[in-house]
Amino acid sequence: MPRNGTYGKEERVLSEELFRTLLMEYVGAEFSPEDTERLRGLVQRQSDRMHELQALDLGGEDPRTTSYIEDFRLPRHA
Amino acid sequence: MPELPLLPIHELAPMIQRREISPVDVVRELFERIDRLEPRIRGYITLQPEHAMDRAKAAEAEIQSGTYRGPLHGVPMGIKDNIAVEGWPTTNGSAVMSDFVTDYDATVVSRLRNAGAIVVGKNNMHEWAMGGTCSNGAFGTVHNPWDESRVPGGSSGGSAAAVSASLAYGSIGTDGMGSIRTPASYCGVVGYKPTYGLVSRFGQLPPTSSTSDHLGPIAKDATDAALFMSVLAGYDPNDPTSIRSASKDYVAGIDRGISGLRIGIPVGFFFDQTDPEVGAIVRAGIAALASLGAEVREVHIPWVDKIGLVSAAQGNESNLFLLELARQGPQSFGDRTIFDRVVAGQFVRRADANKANQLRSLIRREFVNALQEVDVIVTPTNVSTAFPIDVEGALPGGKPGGNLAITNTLTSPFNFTGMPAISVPCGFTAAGLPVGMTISGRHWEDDVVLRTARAYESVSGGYKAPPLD
Repeated sequence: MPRNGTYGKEERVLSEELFRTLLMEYVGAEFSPEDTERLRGLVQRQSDRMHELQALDLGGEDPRTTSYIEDFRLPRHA
Repeated sequence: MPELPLLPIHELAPMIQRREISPVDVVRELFERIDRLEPRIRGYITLQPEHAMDRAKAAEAEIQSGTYRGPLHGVPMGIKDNIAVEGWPTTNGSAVMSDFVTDYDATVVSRLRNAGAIVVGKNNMHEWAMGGTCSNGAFGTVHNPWDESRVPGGSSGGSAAAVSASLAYGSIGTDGMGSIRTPASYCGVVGYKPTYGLVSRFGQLPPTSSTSDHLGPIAKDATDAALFMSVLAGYDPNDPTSIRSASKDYVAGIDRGISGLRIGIPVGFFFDQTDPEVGAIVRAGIAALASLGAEVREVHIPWVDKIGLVSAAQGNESNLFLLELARQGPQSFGDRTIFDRVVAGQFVRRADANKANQLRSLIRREFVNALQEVDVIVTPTNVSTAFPIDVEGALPGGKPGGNLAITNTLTSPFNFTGMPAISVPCGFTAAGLPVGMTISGRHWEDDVVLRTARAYESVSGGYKAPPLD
């Protein structure tokens, strides 16, 4: 499951071993086997939801048009 | 005359102004009621009766000397316990924060104090404002005043329960996914989430860059909410998300009525998944609005049924501050699901957050388009009424939901679009549980939303006290 790549079908199953590795990389901690297994299921379901999100055809909507979420202290571009 | 604490602010305030009653009497009666009922409701984490009485005496002296600051002068209220009050603990409902004390007030608190309001305590809440039950927290389970075996909703559940039970004349809550409106709906009071950027978030703790968080009032009725807004609204340089906007008087036109107002009823998403009994009560509320001269028509909001994907990708954006706590394990949290969500949030990719922002922009644009055809949009606040404490529950139709899905599904679109939205009580189920109806509107037209809510209350009768005595 590459953090900035694209999903392929073969990448969508999160193995126990890979998940423990990613937990250390992303969270910086080890948890009990029970917690790790519960979290693995949660992250797997979350990944499936993100796959559903990526599959949506939203046209050319530009996320920068959501102007109300800006930090207005930052320089703004036209 | 009813017991003083049962009055809405707009009925109490003229009596204070005319010096028919003193803020000292108001505070004394309120604390008598708190002493009697708070052990059952658990709406507060901190109560400060001596401070409140000192402030009441000061307000009394000021008013007697001829200085009346306005309708909140001498009026007691609560503050949700994730909003800073100088010198008092701000716990966020978490045991690890039980001794955390700030040396400053949040902007909303200083604005209320400047208006003469008396802060009496900090309201109980769901831990870290990350849940909809307010159950089994470090500071006790909050009980719904309409059925004490049920949740008050959350995360501002202590605020809503306290206002509903008349243990406060109003409270300030926070709303990231529905945390003001859901508990207001469950407890039979008004909850108002203003336009994003209208009310300062400075002093909401922990500080967050969340793009869905709002502060707003929980009150007995729409007029009281408007009184709050007249004090709370306005630009704050201490809040980077605060937006300069035209100053408005939210109270002046509130009784103008809604003749000719165009009301949109969304087809699909909002009503399709709502419990049929709840949906029927809300539709009766819409019929009441039509009877006041409003024109009701259907509107379409494409993509809004995908709002859950935005929540899944962006709902964790403010959780980074909890990562250090999560590294210590689930025992650092009273509600283990918060630990789970903080950890899982680390696995949301930047690409997914960007796509979610695209979807969010699209949904916002669809709402804006719909609001070119109508002036306000009316929906059920929640898919169901308050559920029993310690029961996860299911969505109507038997679909598994979990508490967050039940409490946030219909409220979160208005967080992610930044639109003003108010939940007003619109009736009761056969089981005697309150139902909330949401009125939302165009950005910065908070006055129209409040006026529509007030018009509805002219038919419904407004605040009703739960049978606690």
